[in-house]
Amino acid sequence: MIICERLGRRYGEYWALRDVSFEVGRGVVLGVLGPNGAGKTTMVRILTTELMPSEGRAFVAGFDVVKEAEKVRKAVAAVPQESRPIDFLTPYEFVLSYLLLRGYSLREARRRTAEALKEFGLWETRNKEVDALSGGMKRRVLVAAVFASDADVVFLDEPTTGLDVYSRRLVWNAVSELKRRGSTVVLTTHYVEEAAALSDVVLVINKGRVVDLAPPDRLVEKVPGKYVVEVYGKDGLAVEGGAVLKIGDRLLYYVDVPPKLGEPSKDGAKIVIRPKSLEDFVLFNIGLIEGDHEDD
Amino acid sequence: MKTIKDALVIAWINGWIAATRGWVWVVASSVSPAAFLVLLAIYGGVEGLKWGLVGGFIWTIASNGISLIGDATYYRLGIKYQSMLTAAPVSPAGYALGLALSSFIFALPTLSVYLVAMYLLGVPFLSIETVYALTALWLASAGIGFTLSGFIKHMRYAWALPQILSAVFTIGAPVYYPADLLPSPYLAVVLPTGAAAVVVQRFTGLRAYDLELVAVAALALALQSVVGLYFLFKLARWRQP
Repeated sequence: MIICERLGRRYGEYWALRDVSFEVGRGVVLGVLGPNGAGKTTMVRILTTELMPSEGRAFVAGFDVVKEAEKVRKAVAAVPQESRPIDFLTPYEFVLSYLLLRGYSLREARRRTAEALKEFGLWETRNKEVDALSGGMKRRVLVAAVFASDADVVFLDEPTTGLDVYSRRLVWNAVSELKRRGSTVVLTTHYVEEAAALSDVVLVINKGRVVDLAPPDRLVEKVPGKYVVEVYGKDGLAVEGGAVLKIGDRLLYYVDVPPKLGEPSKDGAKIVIRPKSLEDFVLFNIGLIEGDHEDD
Repeated sequence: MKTIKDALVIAWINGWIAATRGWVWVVASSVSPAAFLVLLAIYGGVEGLKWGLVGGFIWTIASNGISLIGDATYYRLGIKYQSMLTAAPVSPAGYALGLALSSFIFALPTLSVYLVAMYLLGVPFLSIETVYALTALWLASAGIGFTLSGFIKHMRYAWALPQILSAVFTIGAPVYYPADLLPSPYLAVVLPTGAAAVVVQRFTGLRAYDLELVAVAALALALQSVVGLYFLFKLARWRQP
């Protein structure tokens, strides 16, 4: 459903995306992880035909994103990063107008709007102006519109950033439902546990380049050891053996057997022992985030 | 057909719904031309009032196109609505025309008042020539507005630029005064507002311009509207190069 071949985008001398190649099929949820400025949004903007690539090719739903942009646009739907619904419209008007713009008849658009608003818990507030809704509800309005469009490929660019736990789960439900319907979903997120829980395949990118592409479990297997001992504090526990990652005053020990904890250290160092996770793959491979580029 | 449907949907949400929920914008769109109208009526009597009404009508039509800079920029940079529509089968032309049409909806009450006032003052405003001039002006200014909005990189400029352009387009061009006050009346046709004003002033009987000047103005308007539409359809496309 999505094929990228050595895709790249340059701004002057700075490469926001470089040599990105991957392929995902129909009905797959692709989680995209990476720090700010990694190139996630640049990649999404190219695949949704909003931005020209500087090099390489990409195909979405079988169509070339450069040469067949019109056909791509019929097959995709997107919730862009930091987007908001038009504030003086009601959720009903926003979703309805989006579906009309996508080419649905008024009758079908009304039916789909009602269905989507009910699905996202927005039916009771359908006639309130968006301006009066909470941040989480506004975000759900956007996702509801895209959800109702029944597009083959859906791009959700950090859709859960800043959402409460309830709203986040409604978005997660939408991702699962889209997958069940056969849509391919591209989900960029900073929440690693979200990517781990929802994605069939995770693409990790950093500084515009692909770090790895694999199912979440496979990525976790690449992290050394079985457990992680996180120690914060200068006078904390020192663990022998295994790999060590240092983030400021925090030390992460990757070990096969967790150590037995004795007395707490004098300066109150905090120690957490947990099984390794996808987050550790990201930490291990990307390490410290070097400089934020908000407009990536 | 899809382009027209897209334009109507955008005009519905951004024009009709916005105007009916926020009447202050309807008033705002009429304030500046109304202020000129009052001044001209005070200093020019009935004749000044006629110039104020004709000039105000032309200004309001041009403002429809120019003021879409604010909406288009807000939707592109402020809330990323344009990005959402880019990833959908929506035509840039339909979107831009819809924004221009929505400005027109805001201006409808003002334009209606102007039309009634001109009718009462015996100004023969509605003719094929004036409708042509105003339609061409609307298309030209919409093209300019949407294209310029694509170059704005910061939201704060979106509110300043229309004010500058409005001043240039309405004071720099002979909208409220005769074109023969310029060093050469042909300078009037450089801006679409001036070209439209020459045609409208001639056919409403405000000024008896040479037919040659009127013909040049009509031709300039046709060219400006074609260029405006060219920019709108070709250059103001979704994709960022």
